[in-house]
Amino acid sequence: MSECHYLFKSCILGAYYPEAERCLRVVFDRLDTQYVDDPAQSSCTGHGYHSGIYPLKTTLEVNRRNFSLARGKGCDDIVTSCVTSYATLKEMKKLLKDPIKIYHGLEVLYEHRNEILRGLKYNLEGIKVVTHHGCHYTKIFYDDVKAGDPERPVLLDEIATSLGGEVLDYSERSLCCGMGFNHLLLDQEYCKKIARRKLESIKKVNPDLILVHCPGCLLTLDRFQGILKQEMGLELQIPVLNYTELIALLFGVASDEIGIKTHHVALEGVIERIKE
Amino acid sequence: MRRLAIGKKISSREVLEDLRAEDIGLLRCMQCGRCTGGCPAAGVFEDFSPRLVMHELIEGETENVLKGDMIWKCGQCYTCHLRCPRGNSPATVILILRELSLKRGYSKDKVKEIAAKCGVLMWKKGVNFYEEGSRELPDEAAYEVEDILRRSGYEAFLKALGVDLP
Repeated sequence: MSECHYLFKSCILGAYYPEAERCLRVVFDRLDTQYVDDPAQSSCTGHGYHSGIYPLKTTLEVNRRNFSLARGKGCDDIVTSCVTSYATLKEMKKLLKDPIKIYHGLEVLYEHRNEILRGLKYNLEGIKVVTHHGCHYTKIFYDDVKAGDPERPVLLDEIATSLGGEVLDYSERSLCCGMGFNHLLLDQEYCKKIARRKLESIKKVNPDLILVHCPGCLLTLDRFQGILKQEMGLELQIPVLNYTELIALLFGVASDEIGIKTHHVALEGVIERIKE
Repeated sequence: MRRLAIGKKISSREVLEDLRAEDIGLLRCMQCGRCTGGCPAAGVFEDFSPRLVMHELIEGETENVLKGDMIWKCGQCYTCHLRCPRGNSPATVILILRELSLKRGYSKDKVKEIAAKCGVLMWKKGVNFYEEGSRELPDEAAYEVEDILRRSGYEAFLKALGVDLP
């Protein structure tokens, strides 16, 4: 990884969980990790690309510009906060034969996991965690998964364990969260059925929180708990946290600054237990 | 017309000529069904099966697939891509087919609503999602992106879908 990362911001986090994205910058600052936050960086088109609304040529050209911006800022790698950006940029880099390197923010923090421990104000002792790794991180460029097997990635698990938490297994661990790209923006039948299968399997092991590293998974697993309750009377109420929010919280960043108000499922209870 | 190792034909040269088809092993499909076995969308939609999409394609029924609903039911999770024992990628093939389907003028109703949301936001603000006050590109960068969208044929793509640009 290079000295200075080009931070690649996510459309979903920017619109729905802006503090979760800000937390990545907060954590990088605490770890003294250098990054460039360039306001000129555009969307990679990923969500729309996988929905079928961008032809390949458009996605290639939009990202040729993003790669060039990163190089112009002196960065030879791009660190994304979204797993679909991660996979889309990797695919376009490959097709354009561009030498730039692409990483996900979780991979950077995974490399720094021992330094993270030194900055902790709180830990996860007594907290039961389940993890969900985003499909576009584990299943597309599966040879690049940093820890574990692509069928069973363990980056989040190892981080949660090193933070003192107990990681629980569940039967639908490798199932998609239900976001489904075009499905999310249309009738959501796919989203509701898959999110239900996933969340019910998680509920069976009764964790204190679901740890994710993907904006789409955060949105789906958090907000569909409300939709499933309203439409099917399903009582779930399992807090969902992005890895950036969790680490910022454990560093002592105030709850309102990690954006608990943007979450559908209340986080106050689990945060109180973490701080006990 | 290309011949398959298992003796079947594939009628759409356009699919094979797509940049993305180069290393996905389209022609190696042996119809084992492992893709459909692990597919979340196949569990939701009775009539959806990535194996069947591949079958239609290698039987030369590409136009049927392009006109039909099936390619729009995939959730793009890439479980099939991860698990295919022959290194094939039904999820990538489906993306290629979605693009071809729209190019032929089919399936407009499947994406018009999404293009009118995300595509227009990309055009105006350089992002796919936007809420009041959330991140958008500064003017100069947004103009650059708009220019790229126009030059890469995206303006024409949206117009063909019947999406009005601001």
